[in-house]
Amino acid sequence: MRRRDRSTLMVLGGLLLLALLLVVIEQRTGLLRPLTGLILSPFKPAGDAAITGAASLASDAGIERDPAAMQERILDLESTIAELQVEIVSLREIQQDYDRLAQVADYLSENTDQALVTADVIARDTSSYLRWVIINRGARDGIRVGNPVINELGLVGQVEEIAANAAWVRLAIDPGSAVNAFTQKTRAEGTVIGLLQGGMQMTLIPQESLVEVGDMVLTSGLGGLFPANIVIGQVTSVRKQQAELFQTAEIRSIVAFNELDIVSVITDFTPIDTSIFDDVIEAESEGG
Amino acid sequence: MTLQYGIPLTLIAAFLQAAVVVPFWPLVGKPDLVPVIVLLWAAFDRREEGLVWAFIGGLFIDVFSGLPIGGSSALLMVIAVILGAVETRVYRSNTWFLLGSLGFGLLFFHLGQIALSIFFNGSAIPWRYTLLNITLPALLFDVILAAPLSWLLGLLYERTHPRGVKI
Repeated sequence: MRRRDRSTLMVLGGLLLLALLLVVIEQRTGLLRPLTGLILSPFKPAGDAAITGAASLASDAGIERDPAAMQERILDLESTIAELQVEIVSLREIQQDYDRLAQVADYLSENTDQALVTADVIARDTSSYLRWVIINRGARDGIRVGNPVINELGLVGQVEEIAANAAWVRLAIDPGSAVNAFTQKTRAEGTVIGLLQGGMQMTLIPQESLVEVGDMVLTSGLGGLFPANIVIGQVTSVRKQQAELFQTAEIRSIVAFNELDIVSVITDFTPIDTSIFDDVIEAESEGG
Repeated sequence: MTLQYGIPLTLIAAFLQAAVVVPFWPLVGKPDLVPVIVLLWAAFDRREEGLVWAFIGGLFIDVFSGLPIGGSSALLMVIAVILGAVETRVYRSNTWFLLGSLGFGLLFFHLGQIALSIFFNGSAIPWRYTLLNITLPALLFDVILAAPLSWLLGLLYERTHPRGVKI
């Protein structure tokens, strides 16, 4: 074996070992993700600028140009229009932010047991097979792993990993997401999972439960991971087959997951009281 | 070693992927900037350099992703070694062969990412939909992107690795 090949193999072996070590450390301790926040911090303003710039360019594309007489005057007017367009886009952004924040304030006044941290979405998952986003708030702002994430329209997802100044949020449409839910009108319970195709599906609905198209699906709060009664979506179709143990319903979310820019992380809420199960478990362990 | 180019290039590519390509790409299946760059470099450079670029590029992919940190590095390094088994001059003299090899390498990378997302994210993968609507379009865009990038990176490679002259 040539010396060069040997050294390449040694580098490969060393780096491969290091990569696998990183995977193991990350899975076992979760210590690496906080460090990656350092890499993200310089990109926070750049991410905002990229998104705002793209929005401005998109809005300018619609300006009409008249090639008639008084070219100079028209050019002046066009330049004024362009400036105003930019201003309008900026004001619309401010108005939208205001509306969203007003809705967050409404939500907070209705849910006094909850604490919210509002954050901007700064990046999306680079993998084609995950539906995660990165937000610009982290452990320093009181966010913890497992915190639910919402916006003014309903459930967005759940915090999965955190750094000091950033958090990784698994969206409700991620194929690894699962949320306990119920239908508002008929009270049928099930689990809402994300689909890689986009959208969501409510599974594990008992056959005897009634599920209607158009019914709203809300978080049930069971398990204590999410507060109860957050809107997840609306039933668009139901599949019920006698041969199967459970029914399945397709859910359309009201949240535009591809256009998320501001979200709120619920850092504190009162979960459903499950202490009754502690007593049952205790009684069973004493009996057995 | 050309890490002074490799680190900023792959970091910027990962950032562009997360902040621009993924949110604003209008079609199904998205091009993957970082894997294309590091695998092209691995094809140009059969020595350790390609491996180190693959390692660093993989780390940056995972920073902007929910995949476990180090997972993409391992995938890219294995592919870089396989691509490096062919003599560099074969790639440099035959662009179609380069693009074809890269396509196979990227297919392996996508399949590896699917495996990682199943194993670590608990994702339920509908295979037919995923391969037809995500993986294959992404591969197509990757190979299209690789054509101009191979020319640009080739220029950078020649500039940073001038051929030795025997006197």
